[in-house]
Amino acid sequence: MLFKEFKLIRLNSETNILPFDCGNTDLNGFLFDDAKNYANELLATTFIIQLETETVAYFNYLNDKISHAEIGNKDTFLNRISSLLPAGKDGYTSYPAMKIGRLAVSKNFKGKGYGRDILNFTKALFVDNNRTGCKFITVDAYRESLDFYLKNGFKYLSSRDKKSDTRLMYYNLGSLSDY
Amino acid sequence: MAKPIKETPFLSGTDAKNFVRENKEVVKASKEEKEQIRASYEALKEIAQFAI
Repeated sequence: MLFKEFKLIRLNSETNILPFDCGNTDLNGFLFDDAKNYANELLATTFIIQLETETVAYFNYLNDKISHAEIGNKDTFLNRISSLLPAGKDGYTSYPAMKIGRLAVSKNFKGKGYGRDILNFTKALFVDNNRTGCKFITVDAYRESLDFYLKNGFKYLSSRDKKSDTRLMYYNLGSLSDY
Repeated sequence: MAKPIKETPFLSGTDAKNFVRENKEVVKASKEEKEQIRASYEALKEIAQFAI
C-alpha cells in the first residue's frame, strides 16, 4: 500500500485534528470528542494517519486481558478448590492482550487496503521486539466491520454480544510467534 | 460523546470452552501473510513521526 505523503502521528492534547468522515457518526465523534480525553486519562493512545489537509484514518490502543474459567470435567467443588491452587499442566486461564479500541478509515480512502495495513502494523508491532508479553489482540468491532476483521484472522470472543452495536473479537498472536 | 470502548468480559460457560478449543492449536500464519504483515509494518513505520 502506498503511504507516500502520509504522516503517522500520535495524538496529544495539542494535536489539531484535521477533517475526517468515515461515514459513521459515532466513530467520527470518538475522534473529535473523546480521543483526547482517553489520552489525557491514560486510557487509550490514539494514532492518526493524515495528509496535509485531512485525516485518512485513526486507530487506538489500550491494554487488555483475556481471562476464562477453568475448563474440565471437574465438579463445581473441585473447580472452586483448584482455583486456589497454582495453574496446572494445562497452563493459564488469563492472558495479556492489547485492544484496538477504535479503528476507522475516511470515506475518501476506503477500499484501498489502509484498514488491513493498520491491522498488519498492529500485529507486527506487538510481536516484533515487544516490550511486554502480549498474546492476543482484541477489538471492539462495529457491526459493519465484522467481516473485515473475520477476513483478517479475528474470531468472536463471546456469543453474548451478538445483538450489540459492537462485538468483541480477538486475534491470537501465537500464529506469528516465528515472525 | 461516542459509545465507550467495551470492556473484555471474563469468559465462562460455552464462551470459555469455545475460546480454549479455538486456541488449543494455533495455525501458523503463511509465508505470504507474514510478508504482507512485514510490508505494512515497514510502510507505516516509515511515515511515523515518532520512534517505534
